[in-house]
Amino acid sequence: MEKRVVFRQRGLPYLLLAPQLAVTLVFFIWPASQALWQSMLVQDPFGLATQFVWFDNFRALFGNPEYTNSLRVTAVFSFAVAFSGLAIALLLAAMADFVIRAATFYKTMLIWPYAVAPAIAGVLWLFMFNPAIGIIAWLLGGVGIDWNHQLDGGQALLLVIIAATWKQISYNFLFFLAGMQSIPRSLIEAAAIDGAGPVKRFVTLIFPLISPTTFFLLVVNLVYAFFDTFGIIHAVTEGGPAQATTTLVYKVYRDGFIGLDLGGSAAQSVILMAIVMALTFVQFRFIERRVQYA
Amino acid sequence: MAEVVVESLHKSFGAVEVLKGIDLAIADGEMMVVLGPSGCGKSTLLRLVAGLETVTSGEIRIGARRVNDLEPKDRDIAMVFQNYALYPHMTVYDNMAYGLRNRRVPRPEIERRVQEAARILGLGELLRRRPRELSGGQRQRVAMGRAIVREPEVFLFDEPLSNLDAKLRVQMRHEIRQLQARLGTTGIYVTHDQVEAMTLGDRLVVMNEGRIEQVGGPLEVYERPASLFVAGFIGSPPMNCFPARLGEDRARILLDGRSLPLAGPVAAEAGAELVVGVRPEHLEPADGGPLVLAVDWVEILGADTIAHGRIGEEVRICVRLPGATSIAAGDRLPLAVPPERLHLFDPRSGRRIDEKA
Ligand SMILES: Nc1ncnc2c1ncn2[C@@H]1O[C@H](COP(=O)(O)OP(=O)(O)O)[C@@H](O)[C@H]1O
Ligand SMILES: [Mg+2]
Repeated sequence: MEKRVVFRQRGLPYLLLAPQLAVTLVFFIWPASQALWQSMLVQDPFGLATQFVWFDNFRALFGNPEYTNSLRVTAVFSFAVAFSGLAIALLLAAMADFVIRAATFYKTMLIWPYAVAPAIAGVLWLFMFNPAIGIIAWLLGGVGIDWNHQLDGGQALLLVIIAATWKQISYNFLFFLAGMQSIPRSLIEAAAIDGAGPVKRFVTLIFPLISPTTFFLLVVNLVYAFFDTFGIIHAVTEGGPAQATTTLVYKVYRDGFIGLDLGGSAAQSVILMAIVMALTFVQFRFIERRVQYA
Repeated sequence: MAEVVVESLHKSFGAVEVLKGIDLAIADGEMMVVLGPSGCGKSTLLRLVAGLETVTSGEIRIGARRVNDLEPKDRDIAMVFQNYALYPHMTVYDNMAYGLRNRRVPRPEIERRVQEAARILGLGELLRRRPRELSGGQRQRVAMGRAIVREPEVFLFDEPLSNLDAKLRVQMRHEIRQLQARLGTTGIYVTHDQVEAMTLGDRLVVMNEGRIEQVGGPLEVYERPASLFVAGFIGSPPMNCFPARLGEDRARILLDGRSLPLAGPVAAEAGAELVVGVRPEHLEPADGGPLVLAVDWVEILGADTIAHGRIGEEVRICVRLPGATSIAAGDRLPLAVPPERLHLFDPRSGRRIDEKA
């Protein structure tokens, strides 16, 4: 059904929208268009001369092995974070849904990580994995694994993946649990009478029925891994060692604010913008296909 | 095929006792209807038999087996839920086949049983559809189909028709009855609708607040209600009940100085306080009848007329008269009751008082 409010004065709706429009314009449209403009400029190191170069910045990017490495790192990082975040949260939600009894306690415990700021989460894991004093590094040493993420790029990537996943599990868990609890109880009971044990029920009934939630979370998690993990990476590895954990977003920051290559950095953020637009499109396009329960 | 026996069954949710000692024996192939007001524990009883709730104390047997600790899937029962509980992401065929696949029934056998059920229920055209593409009545049939392909020992129905419109309900009632009788499967059918109960059951169990009030055939429950509760719950409009006193010979009752003869002496003290019950349809207009109804409003329903009013000072009753009559508010209508149509109840316990043996 369509919901409509009719205004008598024609100016009023615009007046009411003005604050939101102003915020969007100042903090979103304006910087975005600036980035778009800047991505086609080249500046000398002192900012004295600026030259318009069309798509040279983009061409340079894709010819640069550091950038393609960063693409690869981002792909591995994002899929690892999204996949493990979803899988672990799904498992936890299935168990919380199954126990019912102390469910509130589990839920509260599992929601906590979400309330932790990204940088704090990063530092937390950094301490635990600190090669010299970290408890987990020490335990790993005990089983013969020499943990040093400051030297080993693979280990560094693993560490940021763990930290980023841990932080997102709560969010995924909440959505999965809500999805599972919106499945009518009688469906589960009917399946139990029909001879399906808990695992079979999960595979043949619960998982298909929460697939819209899963898809929604997949997109949200990819967006998170792409864009919201800057704080964690900055706190844990600063993109190193040897750019092993430099994701696209982190590279924008390094090239722009540290390397002061404003044009190249702007070109990178334009590419990121395109990616987020694509993900948002997918989200809106497919998320409406909801499963009916009745 | 199997009989179902329930012995001194208790069920509590936390501190709340929902079932307070249920004893019930359902014969092999019998359709037993559990009738009672909403919240009296009917569904809980059914869910205990299904194994969806755990027994607090007591025993449930299906066939010769004690099933208290068996999982639902091991009890050889099939259940039809009020909201149908069809699997929304599966086709009608898969909905029916699901339970058989889980039990590793060979594929050709599944095919045979599903096709057979579809034929009986007229679902042949719909096997490839999903539940949301079906009407309420069709969903109901699929739920039935899912139960019958399993060929269980016992069917359990939890108000399966209450989401259907009135016309469809009458039709489905008939179909369920025929199907159950034809398959000869024991059935337990829960409902709060007395018409459904009367037409569907070989026997009824009338429940109230976690206890059984009466078990008996539909007519028996109507003609010899075992308690005031059953008397008031079965029949529409409900039975008229009013206080009276038993005469010295224990074969008549005294009401405001008038006297009504009973069919014979009853098992109660002479002069005892009683509650007298008489159904609206059993009061007959009779010149010089012992009860005079001061009519104050009349409902004309076409097939019959219901006249409401009072006898004496405070007793309100109603009378059901066949056809459309010319009775109007303000009339005084003398009524008689055949003695065998009078029901007597103990006002304290609410139990029926029978004739002397
Ligand atoms: N899982 C449960 N937890 C607590 N109370 C329950 C539960 N299931 C049913 N009850 C209570 O038990 C009583 C009987 O419920 P139910 O058997 O569903 O009644 P009916 O089917 O006769 O309407 C109700 O008061 C209901 O609130
Ligand atoms: Mg119920």
